[in-house]
Amino acid sequence: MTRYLCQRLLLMLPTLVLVSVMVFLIMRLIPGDVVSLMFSDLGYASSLEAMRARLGLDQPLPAQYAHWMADVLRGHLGESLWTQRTVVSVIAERLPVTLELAFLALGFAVVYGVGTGLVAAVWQDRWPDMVLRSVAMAFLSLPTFWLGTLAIVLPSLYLGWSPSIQLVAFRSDPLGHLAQFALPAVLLGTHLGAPLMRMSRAMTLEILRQDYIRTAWAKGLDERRVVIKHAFRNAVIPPMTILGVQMSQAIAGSVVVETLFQLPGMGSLLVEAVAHRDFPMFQSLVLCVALFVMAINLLVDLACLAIDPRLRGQAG
Amino acid sequence: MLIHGRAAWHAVTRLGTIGAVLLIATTFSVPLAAQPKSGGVLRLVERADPVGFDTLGKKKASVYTQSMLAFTHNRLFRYGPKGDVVPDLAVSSTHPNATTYVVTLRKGVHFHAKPPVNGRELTADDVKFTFERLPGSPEERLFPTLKRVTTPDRYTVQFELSAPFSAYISTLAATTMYIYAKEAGKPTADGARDYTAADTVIGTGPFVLEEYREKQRIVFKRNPTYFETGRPYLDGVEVYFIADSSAQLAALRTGKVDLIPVAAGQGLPHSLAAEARAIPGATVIKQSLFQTSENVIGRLDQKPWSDLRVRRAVSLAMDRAALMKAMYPEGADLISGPIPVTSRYNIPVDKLGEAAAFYRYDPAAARALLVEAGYPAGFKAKLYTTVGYGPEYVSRTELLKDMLSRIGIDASIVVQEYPVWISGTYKGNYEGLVHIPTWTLGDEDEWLATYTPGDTRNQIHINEPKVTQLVHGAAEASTEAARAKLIGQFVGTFHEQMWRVFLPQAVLLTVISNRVKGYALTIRGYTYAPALVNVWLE
Repeated sequence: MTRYLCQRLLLMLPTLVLVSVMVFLIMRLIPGDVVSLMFSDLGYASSLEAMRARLGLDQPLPAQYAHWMADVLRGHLGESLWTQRTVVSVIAERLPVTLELAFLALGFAVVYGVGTGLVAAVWQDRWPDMVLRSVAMAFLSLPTFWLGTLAIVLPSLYLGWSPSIQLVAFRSDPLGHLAQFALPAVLLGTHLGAPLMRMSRAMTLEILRQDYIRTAWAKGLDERRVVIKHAFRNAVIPPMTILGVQMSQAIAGSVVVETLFQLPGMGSLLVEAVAHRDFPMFQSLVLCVALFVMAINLLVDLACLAIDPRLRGQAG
Repeated sequence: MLIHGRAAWHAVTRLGTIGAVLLIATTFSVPLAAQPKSGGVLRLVERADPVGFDTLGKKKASVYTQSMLAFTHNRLFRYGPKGDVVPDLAVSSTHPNATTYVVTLRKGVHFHAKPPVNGRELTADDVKFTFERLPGSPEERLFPTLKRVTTPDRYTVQFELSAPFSAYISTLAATTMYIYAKEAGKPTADGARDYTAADTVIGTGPFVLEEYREKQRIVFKRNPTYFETGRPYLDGVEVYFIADSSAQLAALRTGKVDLIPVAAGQGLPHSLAAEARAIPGATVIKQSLFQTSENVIGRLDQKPWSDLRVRRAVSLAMDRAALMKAMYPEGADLISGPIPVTSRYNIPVDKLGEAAAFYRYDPAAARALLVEAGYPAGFKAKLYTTVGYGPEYVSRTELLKDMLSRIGIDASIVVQEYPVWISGTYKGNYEGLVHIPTWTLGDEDEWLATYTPGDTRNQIHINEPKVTQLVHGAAEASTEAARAKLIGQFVGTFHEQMWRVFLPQAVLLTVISNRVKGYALTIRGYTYAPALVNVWLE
């Protein structure tokens, strides 16, 4: 396991370099008009040349990359052109909110997706299976911003309730804080859980047809034991492998949810950075998200090793 | 036990008398006017945070910054409810000669009791300091002729200009010209002062900034030493940042907020007006704002827009009534331009004489004009627009395309990304037609200046010496009557020449809880905070 972990960490390095090169180049591919906008309309500098100098665009490309990576490795992500605050301080404020939302949403997605997938598989082609599959497809198809708007408007109309309009700190009111995140997490989680549900169902169906399961039935084990103890552990691995992808979707989906529910997270920060052409902020955010997704993928792989002993042998 | 005889009769007559008196009193009583009550916290919404708290920094001040500073700061003059310029920190102004303005300040105005200013009195030196911050600030453009600011005494400020500027006093009411205390700002490397941070927000305004939580809310508390005695009535104001309009309405419906104001030149979308009206205890109020509407333009230095007949044909092709019905169900002004319809210099369409005829919808007459102009089969043109103003803006462009097609103009829509738009098309670098907004809230001179060669917003490439003369003359006019006459001539000429084809201007919507009393709409500027001084809560 330790050897596998070290190997994976080493493999992350070239991936990180590749991601940083891609982020770096994408920023520089933005048309000159944007730099002109930043100078003339947003007033980030007193002249076009000063604007280019401020962004480091007046130097050769390799030099720009070297300076930028040196700063990143030292933890200097630059200053926001829009707010003039350090990027690090802004991300430090916003990151916990998005992380909490993303983890809660993913947690709900796993419980909802894997759980309903299991149930659908056990009740294959009967009404629970059809209902659960239809619901999953519905949540996958309906846009989050529409569902979110309904989730805010309908309770206010019929129950006289609307979400809190400011962030409730965990320390001051733990239950209130969790309650505030519950609705947006469920909203995001139902969207993320749909593919998990379908994959769980498919895997469970396949596993339930295996010989060892048939043997378990033949031995007279009860259904719960067969499904939970024998089938579930094998069925849950493939859906877990897509959690890394789901995490990046959770961050992308958090943009709408954070805006609707007044959660000051990184999703809305990303949108603001794009809208305000905040070059340093946007660049750093994309790098952060990429780093985060890679870390999640590593954790998922380690989790899979923990669940499936066969994989430990292959990894070891 | 029953009451008998005389005692009973006395009781009945006594009761009857009391009842009659009460009946008469309630029938003929005059209801007392609502008396303001002190106390309570007003909660309202804004779409976005301020970006720093400095309107005179090196970067152009966000409209949300201007809006928030109106709670804590004052200007020398401000806009009244009808858009008129009224004194704020000033008590009076004189104009001893064409290039000098003298402003007398109120005495006994104090800054907020926060360190390092600690509640000291405002003096003329603070005004001088504020104006010394202009060079290098984008707001320097407001005072191009300002030569010198002097302080003959503690409460007098003298402005000397290099050339006459008849709108000088009203420009002092611009919503970026708040008066700053020098010591409140943080020193910068170049010897200047920076007022970006929330702890530098120390002004003379009716409210004191108590708490700022980014992306969440700003809390203001009543300034106990405000110069208007007894005001504000409110104990405080809480501003919540809610970007989504549906979420704003949900918060109002559930009593979490009391007011959704017209902020940053925008109000509640018309599509949500019915939902807002259905909220018990809430009222939707409509108003026109001091701004002009979207319009269709081309280049006056190129065909076909250089031909007056083509411009008039485009105007006749615009079914403004249909556009208003489709896009602005809550109402709109037929046109608002070249100066806002709420400007005192505006000439209503029905008073434009012959020019008014070209604001009707008449595709047949439009086609006839095109034939006369040499385009019997119409012509093809690109019609530029942008996604930067939202999807509804592009929907309106599509409606315009359809209207133009009915008179033979084959417009192919070119949707531009906002950066490309703002750095190119918006500055006049285009060929063909453009669907363009003119939404700034500046003074009339700012509007008129866009019709002079060299102005960065001269998108139509106009270069008419007579127009330039009118514009400069209006800016330098020595009397209000002379100024009004020149602006009137400009407006009349504009409509005759139809340099821009203006489209309807939507009314803006405020939603207010019925517990909020005394709120007066602001038709000018980005700020509603001055109106909150007179607000109280039931």
